[in-house]
Amino acid sequence: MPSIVPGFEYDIFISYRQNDNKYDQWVSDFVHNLSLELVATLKDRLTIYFDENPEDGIKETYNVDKSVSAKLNALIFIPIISNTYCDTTSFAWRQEFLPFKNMNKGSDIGIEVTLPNGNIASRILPMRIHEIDLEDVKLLENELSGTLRSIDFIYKSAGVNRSLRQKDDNLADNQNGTIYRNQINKAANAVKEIILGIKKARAAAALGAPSFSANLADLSTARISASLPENIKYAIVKNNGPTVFLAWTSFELKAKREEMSIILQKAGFNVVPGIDCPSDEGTFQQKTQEALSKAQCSLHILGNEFGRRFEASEEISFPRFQFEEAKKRSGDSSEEFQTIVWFAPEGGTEVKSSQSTFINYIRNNITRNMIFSNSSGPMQLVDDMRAMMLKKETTELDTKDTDIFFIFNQQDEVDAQIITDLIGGSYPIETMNIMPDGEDEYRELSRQQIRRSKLAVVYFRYAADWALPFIKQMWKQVGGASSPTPIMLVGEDDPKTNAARTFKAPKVVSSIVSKQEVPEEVKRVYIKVIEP
Amino acid sequence: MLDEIKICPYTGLRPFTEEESIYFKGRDEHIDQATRQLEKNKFIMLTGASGDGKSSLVYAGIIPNAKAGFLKASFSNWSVVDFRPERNPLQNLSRTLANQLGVKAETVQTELNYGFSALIDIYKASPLYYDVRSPEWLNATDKEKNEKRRKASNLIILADQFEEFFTNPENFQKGVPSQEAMSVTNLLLETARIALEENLPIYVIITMRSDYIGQCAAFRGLPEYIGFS
Repeated sequence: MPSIVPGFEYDIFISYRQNDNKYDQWVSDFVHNLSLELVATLKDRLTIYFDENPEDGIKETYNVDKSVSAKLNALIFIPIISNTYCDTTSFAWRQEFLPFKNMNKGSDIGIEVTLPNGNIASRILPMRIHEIDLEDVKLLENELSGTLRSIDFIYKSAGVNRSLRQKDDNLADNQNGTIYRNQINKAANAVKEIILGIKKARAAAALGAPSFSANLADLSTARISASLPENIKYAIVKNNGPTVFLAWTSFELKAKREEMSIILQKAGFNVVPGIDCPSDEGTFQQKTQEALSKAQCSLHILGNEFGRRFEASEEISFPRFQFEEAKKRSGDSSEEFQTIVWFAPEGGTEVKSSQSTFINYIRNNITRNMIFSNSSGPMQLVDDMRAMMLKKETTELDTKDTDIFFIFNQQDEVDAQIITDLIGGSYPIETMNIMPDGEDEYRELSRQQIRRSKLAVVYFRYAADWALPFIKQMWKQVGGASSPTPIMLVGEDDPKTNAARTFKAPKVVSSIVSKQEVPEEVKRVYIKVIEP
Repeated sequence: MLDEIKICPYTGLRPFTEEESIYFKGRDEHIDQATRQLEKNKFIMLTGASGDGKSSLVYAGIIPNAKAGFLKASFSNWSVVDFRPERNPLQNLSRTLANQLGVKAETVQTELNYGFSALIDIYKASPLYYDVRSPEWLNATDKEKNEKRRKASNLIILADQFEEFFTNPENFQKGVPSQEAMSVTNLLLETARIALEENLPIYVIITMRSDYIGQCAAFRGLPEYIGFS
């Protein structure tokens, strides 16, 4: 039976070292299980080329040009990456891996295909069964144009580095936390995505749009032709959500990151980067910046481990580098880039001291557009992210540039009037009286006016029970420590219970003074803060 | 003067408290939805899986939002009567309500035993409430009115972890609620109903694990209110 795509011999070609199948027939089991999973995943029946018997199929002495060109003419090439696969003298490397890559590099489909979700994937889909040497990773990345995206079947515990088996799913000490059944499912899903990507590319080519990308942001609905296949129209609508930079994690969280990626996509997000973490530091930095530039927010999953460190600096790990890059964008006042940190340590395992230091650093530097989440699970987190990212555009309310924005509660309006009259003689001032049943959208109005003021003042005498919650909510709304406008909480010392009503936080000044001193105290703070 | 304060926003796995509301972020849309719901219906039931942040949403979101003046109500101040049913729901409700009103818990419990409008009546008779149509208010001086305004307070009744009505045998046995459980549920629903009818500043919030929604049918009127909210 030929491939489901005309012009191809097989749908999948399995490339492996025979030694990796000798001990427990791991490769044979994998192919068997994958084929069963594919039947349940794809409507099409796929053909797999797998040379189980070393005496059959392609042999060392065969004329490679003749035999390989026929058998390697497959849609997807699956190399089983083991301790010995990346041996440049081996048959699998010389006669299968390199020829497949070279044969397809200049073909009409190419090595990389655009998936239905808009991500790019290679038709070389590695399954990794051992933690391989860094040199081997670099060799693979070099051949795969600097990227390695693998589905891992690795069982790792103290002193153990072997392939993950089906029966290991019942064991609890696999440090990678991967489950064989799930990895098989991931492999089948990846195959499905690539097949759909190839089919879509073929369909688009037939329609005269060879470089069609389903998630181009500027693709207007007017360009959707009624004659386009249904699946293409669906893809345009479905994948128009925000793009998330899902930061690469330390190794022990790799499976959690993959799970998060799937959930994000199911929730309508585009996820970048769509490749495995590059091992080369320069490539890693470049890919991080490239992916971040495409995103509207970033998500950083942090666990017990600090992660791989840069050779030149022990203080900077790969996860920390990504966080710092995202933080820069969140700190840019001209952008609304959200940085979300999800701290999800494994219970019962100690958080490494360098990681604790990093976590504390993040906690103490929460600024505008940054969120530190303790969500109990990925679905809740993604739900929150979606609510946050898809929030409605706010309308511009009637605000104006001013020196002082003075806010008080209706309970204190008589006293506030006297104070604002005194301050208003020296500085331009805007006032707002919060009435319990007022019509105004106080939160949004306050947020917008505070941003246009040099100093915001929250004043109270009798309304202390309102003033403290109000300033806390507004401090959060305007960006907390990164707020461009400082906020002053000033209360009168009568009633005496006000003495304890203060709020300490970055960019906040808190004072309790007598009624007569309030105007002068406001002016003093204004001068000190604005004209230091 | 500024930027000297170090903060630590991480609470671990326990819910965020009202004091920690400044670190509770990312749920503004949910808070706004719940606030609008309360303004409109005076009642909301928040359901969800265990640990998905229902209590945090109330304590660090809805309540601070209301106290900041972002939930439109009659008065500037807010009193929160929050209780968990545990094994003595009526006693727990009475204790926290009495605490807010500054009266004896036994007195409140005796009144609440009557059910229906009992909670509303207690509130109306307390310094937390004044009626602008009453002769007492109309005849008061400005000073007296200001005094009343300062004492007046909207009321939030929060029944947190409502599933305890089903998980404790004292409250629920063989599919049947105890008399005490019925009384408290009746009080919550009637309070919300009358508050809506008379436009009183009382708001009822219930949080419950979604696993128990099916069992709410054991309480008269409750399923309708779940649909209502």
